[in-house]
Amino acid sequence: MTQKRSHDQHVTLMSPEASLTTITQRESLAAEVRKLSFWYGDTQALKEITLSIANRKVTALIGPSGCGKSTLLRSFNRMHDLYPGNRYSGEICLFPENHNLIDLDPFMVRLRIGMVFQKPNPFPKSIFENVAAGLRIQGVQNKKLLSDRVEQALRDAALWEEVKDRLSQSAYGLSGGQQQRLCIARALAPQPEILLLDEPTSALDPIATAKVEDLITEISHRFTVIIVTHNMQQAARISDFTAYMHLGKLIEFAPTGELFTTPQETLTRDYITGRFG
Amino acid sequence: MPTLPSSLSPSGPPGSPLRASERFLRRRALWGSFAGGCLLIAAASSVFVTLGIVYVLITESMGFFAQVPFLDFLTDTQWTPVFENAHFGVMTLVSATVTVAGIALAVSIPAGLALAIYLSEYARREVRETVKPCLELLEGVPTVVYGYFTLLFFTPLLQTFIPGLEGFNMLGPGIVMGIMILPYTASVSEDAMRAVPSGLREAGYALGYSRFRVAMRVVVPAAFSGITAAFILGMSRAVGETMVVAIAAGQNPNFSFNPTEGAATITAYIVQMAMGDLPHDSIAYQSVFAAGIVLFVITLTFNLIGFFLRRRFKEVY
Amino acid sequence: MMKADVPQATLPDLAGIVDANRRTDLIMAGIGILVLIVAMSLLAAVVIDLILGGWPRLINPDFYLNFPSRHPLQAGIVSAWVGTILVMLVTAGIAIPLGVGAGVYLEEYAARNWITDFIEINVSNLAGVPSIIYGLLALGLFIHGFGLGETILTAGLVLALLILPVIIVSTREAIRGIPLDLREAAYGLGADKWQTVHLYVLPAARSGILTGTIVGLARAIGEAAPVITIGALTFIAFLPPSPLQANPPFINFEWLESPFTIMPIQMFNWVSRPQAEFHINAAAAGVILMLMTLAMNGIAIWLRYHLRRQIR
Repeated sequence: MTQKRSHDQHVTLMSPEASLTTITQRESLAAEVRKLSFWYGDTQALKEITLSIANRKVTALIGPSGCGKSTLLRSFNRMHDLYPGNRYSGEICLFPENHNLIDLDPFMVRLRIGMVFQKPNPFPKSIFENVAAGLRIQGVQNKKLLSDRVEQALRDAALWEEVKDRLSQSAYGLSGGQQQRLCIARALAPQPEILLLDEPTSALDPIATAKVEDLITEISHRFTVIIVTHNMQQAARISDFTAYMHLGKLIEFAPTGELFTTPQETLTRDYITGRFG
Repeated sequence: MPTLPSSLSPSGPPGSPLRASERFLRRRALWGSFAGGCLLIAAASSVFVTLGIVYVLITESMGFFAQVPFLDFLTDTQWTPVFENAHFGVMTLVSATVTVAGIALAVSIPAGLALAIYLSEYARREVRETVKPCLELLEGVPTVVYGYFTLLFFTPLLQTFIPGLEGFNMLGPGIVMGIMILPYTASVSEDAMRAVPSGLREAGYALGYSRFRVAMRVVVPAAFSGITAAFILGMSRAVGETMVVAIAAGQNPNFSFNPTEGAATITAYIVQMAMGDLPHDSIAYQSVFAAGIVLFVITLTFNLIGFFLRRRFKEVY
Repeated sequence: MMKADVPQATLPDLAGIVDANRRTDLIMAGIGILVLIVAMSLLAAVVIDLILGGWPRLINPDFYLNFPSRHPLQAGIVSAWVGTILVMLVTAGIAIPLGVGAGVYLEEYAARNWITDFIEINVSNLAGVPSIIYGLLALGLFIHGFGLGETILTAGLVLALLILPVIIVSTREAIRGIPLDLREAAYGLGADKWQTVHLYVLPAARSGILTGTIVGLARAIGEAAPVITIGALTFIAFLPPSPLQANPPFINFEWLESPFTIMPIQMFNWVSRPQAEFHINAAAAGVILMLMTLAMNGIAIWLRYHLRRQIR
């Protein structure tokens, strides 16, 4: 067991071989993955992943193509359940209730966990309606509540100033970077317990990427973020904890600074130094 | 601070996220199930239609087949159910149906194939995209209009070339129907041809084939099942066509394959009978359904063959 | 080393082959264009024949407001076009919910199993069943089985069943065209299946579904065979009762039970008469019928354009 201290938390993080997680403060973990395995049909894509997600921090999942990082991410909000032939074993426990979200109703899980996709996918509706979508789905109809939440979410996504005068215009009139920030606002409006980002900047230009990275850092003070990225530098820039995955297994998990400067595993070191991937 | 809508409830300490309440989730699930149920009923309705058709055809013609020996039904060459000395040879009607459909196919197969080859292998995209909607216009014309045209314009026109042509005949409707189903046969064939991967074509061109040769030796054989499907489905449409033949081929049952004569097809007979008053238990009423069964079986066979052929060509590529 | 005696093509030979190929190509293209010309000429001939044939009655306003009559010069189409509109209302009211609903179910809800396969084959078959068989279904089941009578309701019902496959297929294609990201975005927000379908997928597929529906209705307008079979009379010298009324509740349903006639049947009736004067009426009716069909297709195109530009 290794003890790491980061910021103001006492969190004991495990290396993959150990199977203990001790928490000194219950609120400091948002979720815990315990021996999660996942199969697409007959292919096993995740092999007994065990991992802790710190509350209100950014956790990055990195690794070469096909390592299972997106698969792991999508397990958090049960997106796999939309397609037949998929199977889980193990647990993903949400705190503070410590419920295994694999056992919960997937539609219920998705109301509590938000996702932003790789390619911006706003609805063919107005900017306002896009951001309000998550709230309407939960049955909110009160105009004041909606507009307050929409404004807050757009501010969080650093988009409010740019769109406040054209909320009723189509979302498709925005640039790619703006659309992605809109999608982030849309995911934030229902105030999810965890925000999942699946390579959110890989389709964006460098300027838009920088804006998104800044806002991720900002919102991580209030939201728990898990981000999948194939860009190591991005992970190094914005995440607090990083998990390196390889062929469906979790190889190493540590606070970002340590993983990148003193990786413990050979595979991690090889990936980081660019020997493959 | 606006009050919380009943769909949300606070969870955890103040400031923590609002959560959709249990009640809301249950209500949503109920609405979802209700909606899903309604949609299922809608989908099932199509099955009920088929069942209804089969049921009606069988039950309403049972009386007919109880009275008429099946062999007579199939072999007699006269169809006069309402006369004193009644004959019930359905082949009389089938002969007319087959003749008209045959002529329609004789027109539509070469024309449709030529058109499809042209559109698929020769024409530029812009040409294809203007031509296809124009062809669709042909299909949009109501069939009564084609019937009018055939009887009052086309037949007289043909009569100037063919002296023995009667006022009601099978040639005119056949030709007009052939062109009428052209959009259908041409576009299904063309779809089949366009589905052939360009790799195959390129192999032919690389060998020095002309466009024509690539079309005839490479594309058409590769798209064969789709093209056959197009013509079988076109045949089905020709067999089922009613108004053109009812107006222009006459309503006199006549066992004949001679296109210059008029004859009532299965469909024309049904229409003719339906226009009169048919008591439910009369042999006339039942004969309509007997004829209907024959029509249904013929078109069902064609449709199924066509459906599976089309599926096959979609799968192959 | 002995080379086999393979005749080598000389350049003039090759040139000859290329020329011959070019000629066949031209002929082939020519044939294709010829077929096209013949088809379009037929269409033009039909239209011109109708307009010329019906001209005397088309320019006479009485034609549009008169009832059918034994005297050709006094016969008009008012009962026919009113009947067509009323029957179309019923057809749309039945076919659209059923057809769109079935299409949505097959695309979004149904699992890939043999039942779904069976329904698909069934729909495909129904699309190819001759329209007159639908008439027989209505005659045997609705009229003699359920006792519905030769009314607007029955006609609307049989036409709705006739165009059901068209609407189902076009709904499915419209929905299939909606990309996966839209659905994933909706599900990602926690929407359940019905919310995703009716709040996001259907509105996005709106224009395709509407276009397909109107195309189906345009077909139904011109169908005579099934409606004749249920016994629509052709000599209707009255109008069905109006659906609207002055007293509350302002709409009534008596018109559904009324006898009626429709445009294609009226035309069929007139063209079947031996007198040439009735043929003029038939041609005029044909022109109006085609205009109605054209109008529907025009509405479809306009709607498709208009909906594309509208974002809620």
